[in-house]
Amino acid sequence: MSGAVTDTVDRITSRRDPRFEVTLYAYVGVEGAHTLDAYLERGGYDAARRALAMEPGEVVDLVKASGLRGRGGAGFPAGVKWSFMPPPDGRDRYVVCNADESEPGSCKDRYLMEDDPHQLIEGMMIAGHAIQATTGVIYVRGEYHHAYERLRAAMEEARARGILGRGVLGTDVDFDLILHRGAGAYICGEETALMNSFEGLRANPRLKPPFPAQAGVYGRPTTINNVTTLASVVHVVAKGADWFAAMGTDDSKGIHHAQVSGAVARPGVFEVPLGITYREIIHDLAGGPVGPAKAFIPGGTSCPLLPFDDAHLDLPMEYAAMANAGTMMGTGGVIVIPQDQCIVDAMYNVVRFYAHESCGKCTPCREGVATWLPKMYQKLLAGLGTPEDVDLIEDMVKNLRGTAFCPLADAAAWPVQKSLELFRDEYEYLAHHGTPMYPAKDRWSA
Amino acid sequence: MKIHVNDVPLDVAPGTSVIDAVFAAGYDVPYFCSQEYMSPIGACRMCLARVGAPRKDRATGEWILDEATGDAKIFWFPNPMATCTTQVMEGMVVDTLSKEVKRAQNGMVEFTLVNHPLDCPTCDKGGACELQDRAYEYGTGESRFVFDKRHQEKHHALSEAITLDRERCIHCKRCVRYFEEVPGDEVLDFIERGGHTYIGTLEDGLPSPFSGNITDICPVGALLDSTSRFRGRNWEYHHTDTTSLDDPSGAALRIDARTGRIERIKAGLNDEVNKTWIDDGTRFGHEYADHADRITLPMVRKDGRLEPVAWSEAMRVVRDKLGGVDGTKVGVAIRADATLEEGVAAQALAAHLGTGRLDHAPRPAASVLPGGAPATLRDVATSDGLLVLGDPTHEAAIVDLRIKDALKGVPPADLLPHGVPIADLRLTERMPRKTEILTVVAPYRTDLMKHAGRTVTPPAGGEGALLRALLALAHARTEAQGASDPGKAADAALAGWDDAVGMSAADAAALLDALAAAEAPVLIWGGFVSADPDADAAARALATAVGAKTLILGPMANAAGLERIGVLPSHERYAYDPASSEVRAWILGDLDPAQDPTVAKRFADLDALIVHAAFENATTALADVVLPAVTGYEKEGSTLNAEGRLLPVRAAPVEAGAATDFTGVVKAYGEAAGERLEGRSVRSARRVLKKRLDVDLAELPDDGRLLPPAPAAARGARALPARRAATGSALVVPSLVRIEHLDRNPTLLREHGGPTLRMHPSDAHAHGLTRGEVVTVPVGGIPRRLVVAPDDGVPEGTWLVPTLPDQPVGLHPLDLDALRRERGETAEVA
Amino acid sequence: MSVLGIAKGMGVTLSHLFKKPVTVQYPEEKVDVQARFRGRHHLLRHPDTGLEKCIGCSLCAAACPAYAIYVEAAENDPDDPTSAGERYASIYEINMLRCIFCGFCEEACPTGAIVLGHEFELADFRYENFVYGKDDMLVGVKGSKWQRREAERAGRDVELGLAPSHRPELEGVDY
Repeated sequence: MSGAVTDTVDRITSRRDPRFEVTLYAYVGVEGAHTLDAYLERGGYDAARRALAMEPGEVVDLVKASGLRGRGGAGFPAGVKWSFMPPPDGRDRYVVCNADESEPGSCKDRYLMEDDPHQLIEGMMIAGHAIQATTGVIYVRGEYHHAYERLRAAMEEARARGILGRGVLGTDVDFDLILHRGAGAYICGEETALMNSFEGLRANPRLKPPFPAQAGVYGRPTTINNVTTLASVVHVVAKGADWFAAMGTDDSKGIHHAQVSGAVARPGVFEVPLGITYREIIHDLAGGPVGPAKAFIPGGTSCPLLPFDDAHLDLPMEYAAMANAGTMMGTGGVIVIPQDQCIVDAMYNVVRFYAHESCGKCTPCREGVATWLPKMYQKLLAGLGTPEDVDLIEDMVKNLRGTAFCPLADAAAWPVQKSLELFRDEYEYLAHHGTPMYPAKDRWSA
Repeated sequence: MKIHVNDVPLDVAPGTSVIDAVFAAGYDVPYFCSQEYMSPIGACRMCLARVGAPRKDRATGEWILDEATGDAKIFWFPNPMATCTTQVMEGMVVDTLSKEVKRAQNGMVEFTLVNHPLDCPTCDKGGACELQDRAYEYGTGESRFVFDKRHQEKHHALSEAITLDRERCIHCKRCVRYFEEVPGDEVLDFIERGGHTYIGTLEDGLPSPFSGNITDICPVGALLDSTSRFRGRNWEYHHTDTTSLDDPSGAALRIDARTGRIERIKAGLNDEVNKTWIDDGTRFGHEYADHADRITLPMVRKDGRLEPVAWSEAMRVVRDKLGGVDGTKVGVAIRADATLEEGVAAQALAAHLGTGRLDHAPRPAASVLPGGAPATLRDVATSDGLLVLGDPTHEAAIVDLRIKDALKGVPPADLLPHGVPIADLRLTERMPRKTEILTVVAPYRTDLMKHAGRTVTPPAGGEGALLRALLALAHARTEAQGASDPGKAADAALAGWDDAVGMSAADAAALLDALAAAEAPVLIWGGFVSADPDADAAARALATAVGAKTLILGPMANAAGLERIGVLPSHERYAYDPASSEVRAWILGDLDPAQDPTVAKRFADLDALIVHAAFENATTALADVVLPAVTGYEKEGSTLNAEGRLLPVRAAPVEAGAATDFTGVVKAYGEAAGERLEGRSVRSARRVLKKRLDVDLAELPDDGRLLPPAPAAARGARALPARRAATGSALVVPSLVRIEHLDRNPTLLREHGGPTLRMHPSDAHAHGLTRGEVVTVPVGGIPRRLVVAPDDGVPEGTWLVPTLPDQPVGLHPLDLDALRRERGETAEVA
Repeated sequence: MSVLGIAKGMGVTLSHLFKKPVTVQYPEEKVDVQARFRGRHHLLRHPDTGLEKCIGCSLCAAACPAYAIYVEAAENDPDDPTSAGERYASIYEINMLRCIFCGFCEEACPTGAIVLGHEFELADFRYENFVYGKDDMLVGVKGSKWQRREAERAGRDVELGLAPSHRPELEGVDY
């Protein structure tokens, strides 16, 4: 089967396009959809059968052709990542599913695992075949107990029916899964820290290179992908690369999930074709902001926020457009910040989260993100700050950016820096007056 | 690869880290987490620099050119890079001087100091602190952090010998990595996360024989040597770079002394020998040298009591006493950790007295000089097939570490202009170890065995049988190759194998295969083999048969050197035997044979007993003349380590009254006797040695010099006579901690516990012995006070006792019927 | 040189004939010292807790250009501390024969523990009596070794040849 993308296909760049239909999330929220019987009834594991009949290299080419990019936040092309795996040497290799969905504002993977676990298992089988790994690891976020239970049950069902284990689906390919539950650390969403955690070591990020494809889990070649990426692979195989590549834009193809939260009328997860504008997401899908909004975070808290204005709302949900706007598409977790929310308070909430989640390996993150930055915010919010403190935060954030071992420090520094850029007046008001421009409200009542 | 560091063009090897390139170019970047012999991890983020490199056009494969200049265009990385974890690339440009770099470094110093208490005046590291230096060089001089610093435990005793100040820790992870990467004992880790991260261990201290090294590598004052806690400031210490006389590995030491006391010992740097590591016995075992009961003046027995006198008077007494004894009936023996110069002095003294009864002790039955191809420690570290017979961890601790280097499979790095590479990118955290290359043979479970792919436990004293069987098998297999049906002949060779030697035929064949397949096999053996001349002969033959180099671990620091220069009896009949009734007078250097009651009885009717000792003991109690001796820290001289490397021994300034080394004894004797003896001073001894060894020992470099092996003819002239291997049920085993000094080393005693009597738990049960009980039991005649420590790593029927200089490694009779319990006394067992 | 010049010079001499002499009839009279006069050292205590300020860091010894100071430190007993820090000076000696009273030790001290006071009558007979230990310098000790010895022999209080003076750094030292 040819994986080539034809230019003649018209692109679906908005969910309002009648050609778009929900695929990954088609059975999310459907009672009983998580069982193997239900999954098989709707054609489950057909894609895996098709993929197993192909050569591994063909599957990699197919995914490459589909233009599928990693949905965990960084957006690295999945097929390219798979092609980095060295040729098999007869020893273990691993495909790892990063299901440690911890980015504040993200919740797309959770429902995929809870309501359609077999879709993920099938995606892992296909990925495992493509990179010729016989062992898959699903590293589930510790707090996702329900997802963990559903996945465990699904794996047991699959094993009982010969879908996992030796000779899967009646072929001579072996594939089995290990389900590992995290213990609640954001840093385990970083791929190498996840591997350390899985191996039973301290969850510190590892030095790269060597990249996971050379030395990952237990020092063996490993490919690690997000839940949504792996689930998307199922549909890429089932419906073809053309179908997938026809959605989205030239830069960002396929489907993604906008997870809208904050001050909107209808928060939730919405499956969308990439290229959809944030205006469509916030106004059409999420029912628009309740009251005036001043900013929105486009892809989880580690992405710098954007002002809530026409120019930015009309930006497409796309990797390149977001990078040009000085932010990231990230996981697609859109957070709308209302006008009367004190931005210093909001940023303190973000900073406090990263301070709590810093692993402590490198100096800037341990001393800057985890110690100093939250203290500066506490000082400001307690009304003890001075305008020099605002300058100090800005200066410190500059020192944090790009100097730390892993992106966690950047994730804390970027939003802070952007908030200073956009709402410096609020910081200075607080520093001068000792009280915020917008008095703090109970965060949970909105 | 051609690179530029701040416009200094440089040609460096591929794989070099940028930080090394910067240092090689003569520039400096600050760093805390990198350490020369450990993996770079990029945790401290101090070594930031701006790095750029040219790129090749994907399509054409040509360098992308800068249109303005026509040179390859430099693409700068968007962020400052940690140079310790970045590899050089062709055409790379490194900038360590620009404003951006300075700003990044300033910022990082500020972050590092956020939670670091500035208690430098009370910190033992003050003045020798990497953070202090780097903060001074790269910091802004002030902190904008106005909040309370992190408060954590300030005096946490990680072990009896190491104190941890958790507030001072800057989380560079050197200590954590050290334990995993160097000795392979994972006993330390980070606990908690983020700003709360701290270093911690299990409650039972730091169970590793190499724990003290973390106090050297800690870049701040978080990990401190408890023996020197608050004893002095770094600039007040007198530093003496010398060589350890604790074991035959020849580790480099730095002795820090103040006002006549040794306050601490740190590891010296000798890339060829110990790198920067030493064992805990060496590091913490120095307190005895400052002990109050040192003998500081010569003493002469008057009316049954020892009275302090001047050297000249003591020597007149010695001269008169010896004058009445037939010269051939005088015995001279020095301890095997005496320097080469002391050996020459002893030889001169024996020659003057006209006696052939000269010896060093302990001296094993077999020679400790390797024949054939001697292995250096570098050979050990680069070997791909190691057969170890004995317990190197305790015999020569550095050999243990170099064996572990070999398991990593990373050969020692080439030296750069600034020395050992700071960040060797071939090393990584948690490297896979090639345990399959290591075979350890010992009659009980040794520390090294947990790192070995193959372990063999022959019966105690059974090394000879095992080696002979292996040798026979090796020969048979060689012959089988020439046979008409090699497979059948090889099977036949295996047929006669007796598993009782400690390993199965299949294992033996696999071992020989591994040694044969290895490109650089090395055979290492210690006291258990040397105690049995037959085993020694078989080991040498096996090494030849498999083409292996050999490393022999002698009983004490300079045993090989003293044997090499011939501090030996003129005939084996005259070998050191304190119980001999032929000897009428003894001159003993630092030996205490009278611990054995039969020897003591024999000594009571000697014509003269002259003892050169640092402390009073059972032998000085019987001596006619006691001469004050210096310890190994206070000697000037040289030693020859196990690999045959001549190393300088230098004297630390320790207050020890009129004590001298053995050359001083010979000098004073010569003055009393009106003779100028060779070896009357270190200088005179070195003149003699220069003639014999063709090496000027006064000019010895700090890292020593390999002495070419003695020509076979020279060895043959002093052929060592065969002595029979001893028998008995007590196996005296090597000890990393010097038991004879343990009582005067309070820190080490607390850390290590008393000397132990180890036996299988079933033996302990059969004799009604309980763990921690203190017993006195005669071992080879010497009553030994030991702490009972049942250990399932000891085979049944074997009782392990740590060695003393007067009780060499090997089998000794054990009189369990005479075992006496010290009622009510118990001790901690590590 | 002109006659005028000589007259001018003589004029200065003459004018001093009629001025009050500056000579102090020491030891009958007390000497007035300048506020910043540097005399014998005092080792201070924290006025509120009474703990020694000296933490035995030896920086004074390092700063001393005459190598006059010797410090040996020890660890404080947490239940009964001698100083406020982790360590205190178990031995603190200044050789007054070597000391050049430059005051570098005072400048080097991170805790303000050593301050040069105004006492200057340090003369004595034996070398050993010039080595001042902690007992001779801690706050509360008045006078040099010789003065104290004499006072004890004579059974009277130490009397300094020093007019009452004040140095603000010298907390608790009273002249």
